[in-house]
Amino acid sequence: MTGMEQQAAHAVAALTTQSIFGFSPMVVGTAVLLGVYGFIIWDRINQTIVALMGATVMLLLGLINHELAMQGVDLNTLFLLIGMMVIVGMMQKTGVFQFVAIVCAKLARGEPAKILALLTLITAVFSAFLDNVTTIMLIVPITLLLAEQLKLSPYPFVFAQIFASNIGGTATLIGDPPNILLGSAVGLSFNDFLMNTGPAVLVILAVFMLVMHLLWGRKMVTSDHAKAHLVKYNPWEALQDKVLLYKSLFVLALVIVGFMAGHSGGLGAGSVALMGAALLLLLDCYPHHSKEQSHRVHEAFGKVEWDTIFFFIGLFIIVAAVEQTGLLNMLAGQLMALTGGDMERTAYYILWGSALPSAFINNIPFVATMIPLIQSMADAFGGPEAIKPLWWALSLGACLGGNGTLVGASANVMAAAYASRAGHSISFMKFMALALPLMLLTIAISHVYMWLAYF
Amino acid sequence: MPKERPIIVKAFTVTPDTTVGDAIDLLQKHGVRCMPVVDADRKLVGWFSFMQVFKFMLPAAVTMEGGLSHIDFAFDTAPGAAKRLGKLQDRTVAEVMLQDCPRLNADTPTWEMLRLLMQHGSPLPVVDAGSEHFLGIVSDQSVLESLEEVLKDLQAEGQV
Repeated sequence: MTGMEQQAAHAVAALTTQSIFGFSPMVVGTAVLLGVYGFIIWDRINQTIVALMGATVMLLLGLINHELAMQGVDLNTLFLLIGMMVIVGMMQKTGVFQFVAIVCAKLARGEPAKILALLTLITAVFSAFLDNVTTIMLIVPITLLLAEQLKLSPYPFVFAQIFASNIGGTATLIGDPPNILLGSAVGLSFNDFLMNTGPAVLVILAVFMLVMHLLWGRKMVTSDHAKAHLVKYNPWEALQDKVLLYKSLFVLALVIVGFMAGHSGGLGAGSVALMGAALLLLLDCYPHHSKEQSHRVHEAFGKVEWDTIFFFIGLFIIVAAVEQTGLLNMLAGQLMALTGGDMERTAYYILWGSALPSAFINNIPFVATMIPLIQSMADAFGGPEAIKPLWWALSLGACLGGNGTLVGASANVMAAAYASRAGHSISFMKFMALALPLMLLTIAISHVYMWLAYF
Repeated sequence: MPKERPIIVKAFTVTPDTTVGDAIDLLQKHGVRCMPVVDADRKLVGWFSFMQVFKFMLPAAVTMEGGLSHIDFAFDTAPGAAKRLGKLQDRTVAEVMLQDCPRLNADTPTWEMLRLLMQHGSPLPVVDAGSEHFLGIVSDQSVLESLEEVLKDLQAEGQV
């Protein structure tokens, strides 16, 4: 909207239009936003606390009011996250991740190169449908065990799985939080992601697996004795709860069908996810008496990462406040001026411009800020439908960019923590030395893909 | 805590620089499951037990925080465990011991003592509150015997 329309709207909403301590709301809002980014990067204070405090500051300074703040909190995103967290939380009790990893080891007959490839592949597939951090939390310990048994360094395996989780997560609506944010804000469906980022992900994953093989896989050697020992492992013993596994897979399948079909039927992804969680809980609980049911439901919801949920809530309010100040409209205007209003160039700018920050800072705040910014460009480019390529550029850039350093994505941080606990610390610089160029390669592939697919 | 019934009893101790191999021999020789680790200044620095040895006989992927919750899918693991035991022999107790072990003071009340024994198992070390000097151990037997004496006294006085 124009400056005057904005002022009028602000006056109606009782938002601050006068200066705050002598500065305009836009300047103050920007300062708070940068402060929030800064604290998140510094990591001196937990990021959920930072996000909630940032939202507090925005509200206290009058940069946003209660009503707009509440509207800014995207319940669809939160419900999608919570619903999937409940489902994954119950699935992880079944031991399915360990089961699949051991099956891979046996299929590979203990051959390290094949195990590397298979584990990379399954990590990518799991990450596409379940959240990346949980996938890493469940696949890394069994991987560390397998590597130890083969008397190999776990580094190549963990490195490959970090990349695989971020690459796989890019392919679907639910695979990575940036996609969830994007899908919800813009109205993109599960199918939209599958059809648009999916093909790019397939190519990138194939290239990545080839690089891993050339770099490490083909040089891995282990004794026949170690291989024979590994092949004796019994994956069925790893499965703790077969019944729950079948129920979970059934519900997961229904949920995915729900995502695919529901979008056109007016059923949001968040609702589908919650319905799936409710159904799985019902299936798990109905044979038991009330006290046991109570315990199970409590335990299931206990597995939800509430700190992540409130991090999102804080962030939603912060970004809504920043939007109100007009900062994002202004930045959008500047980006347009930079690219001369050419959408193809804008897309490439967004692709590369999202990848580099995402490598160094958590991509969620970045994506949350970029969404309204890009949305404000819609009119100039011919409407919401026309700017779809910009969304794919954002998704590919932000999700794949997370591979650049050990702090680029939460999954990376988790994997590094696990490796460290097992006595195999990963150095930040050593990781980045290989990860950054590889990440840039994946972005280059995305660039070519976008050129072929959309322009 | 009644002064005439010793709850705190003596224990065999081991020094931090003893090798694990020798420490295991000591456990077996004295017929105990665990020993407080006490340095040259008589300060309690850790706790050595069979559990600490077992922890090192398992892969890190199992014992680390967030590690595998069970490992029954792995067969034929006796040789692997035995090899790890072999590698432990020359390491020192200091590398293997539990460092932040739960400990009692001389004036820890009886209820708290019982609660700690229930929570952490028996025996537990007792240290002097200020200097952290090792004073002895409290075990389930020593506490029970002491309380049985207290009960006898109370019954003799007609209070029970």
